[in-house]
Amino acid sequence: MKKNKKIFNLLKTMLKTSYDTSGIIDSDTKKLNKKSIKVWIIGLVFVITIYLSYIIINSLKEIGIPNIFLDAFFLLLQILVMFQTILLVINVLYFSKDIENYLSLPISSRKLLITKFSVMLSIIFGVQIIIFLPSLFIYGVRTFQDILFYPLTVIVLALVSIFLSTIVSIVMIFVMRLFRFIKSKYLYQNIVILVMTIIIFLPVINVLNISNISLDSQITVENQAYNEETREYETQAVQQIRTMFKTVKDTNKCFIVTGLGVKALSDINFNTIIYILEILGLDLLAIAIFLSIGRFTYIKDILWNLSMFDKKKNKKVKLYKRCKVRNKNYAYFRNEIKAIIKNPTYFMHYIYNILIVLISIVGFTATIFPIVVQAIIDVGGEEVFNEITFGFGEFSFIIGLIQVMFTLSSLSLTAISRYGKNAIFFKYIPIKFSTQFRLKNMPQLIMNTIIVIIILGTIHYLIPAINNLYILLMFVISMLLNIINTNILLILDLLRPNLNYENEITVIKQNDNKLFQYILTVVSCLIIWYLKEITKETNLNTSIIIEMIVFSVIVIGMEIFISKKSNRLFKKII
Amino acid sequence: MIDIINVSKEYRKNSKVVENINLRINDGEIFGFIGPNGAGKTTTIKMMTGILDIDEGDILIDSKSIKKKPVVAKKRFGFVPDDPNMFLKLTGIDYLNFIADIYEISEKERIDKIEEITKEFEIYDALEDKIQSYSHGMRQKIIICGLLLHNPQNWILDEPLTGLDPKSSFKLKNMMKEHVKNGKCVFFSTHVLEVAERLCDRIGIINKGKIIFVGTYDEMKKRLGGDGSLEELFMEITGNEEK
Repeated sequence: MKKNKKIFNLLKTMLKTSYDTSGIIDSDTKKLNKKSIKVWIIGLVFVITIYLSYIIINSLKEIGIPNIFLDAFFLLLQILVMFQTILLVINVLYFSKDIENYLSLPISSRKLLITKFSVMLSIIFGVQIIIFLPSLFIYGVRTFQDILFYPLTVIVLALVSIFLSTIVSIVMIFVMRLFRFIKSKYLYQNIVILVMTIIIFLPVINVLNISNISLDSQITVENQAYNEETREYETQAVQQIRTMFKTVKDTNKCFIVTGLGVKALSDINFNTIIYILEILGLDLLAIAIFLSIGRFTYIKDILWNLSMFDKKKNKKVKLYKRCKVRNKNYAYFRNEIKAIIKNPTYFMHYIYNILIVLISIVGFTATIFPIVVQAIIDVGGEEVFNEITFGFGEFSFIIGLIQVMFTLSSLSLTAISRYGKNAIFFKYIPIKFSTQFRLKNMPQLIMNTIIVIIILGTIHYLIPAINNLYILLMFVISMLLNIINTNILLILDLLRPNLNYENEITVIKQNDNKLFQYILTVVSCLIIWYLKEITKETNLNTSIIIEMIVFSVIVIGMEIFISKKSNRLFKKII
Repeated sequence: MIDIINVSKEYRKNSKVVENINLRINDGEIFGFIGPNGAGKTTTIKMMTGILDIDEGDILIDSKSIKKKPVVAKKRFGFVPDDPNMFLKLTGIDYLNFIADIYEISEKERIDKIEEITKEFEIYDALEDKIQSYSHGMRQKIIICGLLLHNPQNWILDEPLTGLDPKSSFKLKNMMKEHVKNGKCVFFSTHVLEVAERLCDRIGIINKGKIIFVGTYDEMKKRLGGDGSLEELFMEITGNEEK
């Protein structure tokens, strides 16, 4: 009892530290921090999830296959929980900032592991309450499930997640040991994440491929109860959906616990309890294995991490090699880039995550788009494509899309704040503030340019019919928007810098200025829309020129303002 | 030479943090700037270095106004702030090289200087390590090395001896003496009155935003008519001001 109390108290402290630094809970009032943008984003995700689930379940109901939702749901759950675990094992279990504080306390390896693992699970459960639980409840309501379905859903969801997290954690203990030859903590973490992602997703992709091939030749269609005129098309569409979900079903079967989860919730009866007990048994077995391995390795691994990574190199400096003369402006810009790349928190947040999102969007679009096009053609909708023309509306839509995508990156929004109290350095060095302003903006300009190139490149690949000249013009206008966005973000940071923060994560996540970036996006989109409306009667080329002139004038105005008022802009850095 | 001419600063209306101060720090002298906490020392140093705007008056660094020609004036001084936790993710050599680029130091000069000064402060072997891994004292040393690297005419040092080991502290004090011997000037703030007493040619005492004494230690003794240490005289002079 006393032992359990010790673990409970430890867990309480860890949870408090973990949630206090997240900014979700107001540390003074202990209530939900309504000022935090994170809270609003979570709220938005919650609403969107409910809405999407409602639409999907209704659509599946209409074609008579609502229970297929559970299969798709558990596949998604599986992927997300496993990926989340990879990140959490790195950030919570092995490399959390508070871990050093607990090492000096008389706590056994097993107890520390149990509490850290519980913190990890609490975060996973938190995400599930927001993303997964509402979807399952909507499924329950829309398919008229028994009242027992709801508590059982909570139990199944928790048990399945515990099993998946435990298994991934066990694999990670071994994978992390394998890569110990990498001496840079930051490189080590990224390689482990990458390797684990491949280990986990390769079987999923493999199963999906095998199922696709085997199903191509033997699709059976059962439901064709629609009116005669549309019968053929609807049969084909239903057939495709069925094929897709048969694949999902097969994938779930390969992962024992998710398969059991689906079975448990498909039909609530006595068997449900048996399935739940089976999952529970597997959970206990996995946890027992995890703790047996962890009790011997956990503290040793943490100590190894603390002592081996980023330790002093004691390498002799070769001055003639390291002392290269650079132009001072280039040196300044280089330092700005280094300050981001050499800091894992900034690199992960500002570069790695954005590239992952971009690659995912491009990959997803490149895969799904041809399927959607093919599906439309299959159901006889070729004429839809014939009706599509490329006008200023489409041009503006793409520009608007690029503007929205700019919100992914907010490097300039912390260009000053990132340096904290040391930002005063930039006040006493002999470089003009207007020059510093432009150099500080460079990383954001580059990041946004990458976004523009990726989006326009994807569009060019997917819709080759768009004339290259228009792609080029879209690039030019996007770059003007890029300069406007970047300048405004830096001005915001200069006017409202956060120079007194506890750690680097808070400067990114508790940054109220992010809200202004969203407002800026809305305003820019409204301007793009307004320009489209007022140039309705003019031809495409003239409209583009008008838009270009408008944004050029804004850029020139801003540049004059920055040159004249840069001293005043840097005033808040003291 | 640094000239502080009728300088005033207020953060809030009608509440001056620094009020009409006048100081001249001549070439060839070490000037110690002392005062109780919240007296206006940091505000004055921040105005001298261009970190804070000057509300009234002007500050000239070798006759160049920090207000009107900030970039030219900034080239004439080097500054060591009180917080040495800078550019922690950079290695020592990256930091020094960055400073050398900013102050446009030639390759030959920077190689020679970096070797000389980092060996002097015994951080040469740690140059390839991240500043993050340095102790407080080593961080202070690397910042001081950054100043010595471009060796400007005027040194402005905010609590430069804090965190330094006795050997490095001794070396820095000698470097300050050497610097003024070459006709240059050192302005530094400190809380350690013994250091000011032994090291400075002249002392300036600031209290409640006003300069209450400027002169040598001997002049101070004469003015107060006592023969105590600087610490005792400081207590007396700031105590009188309180009354």
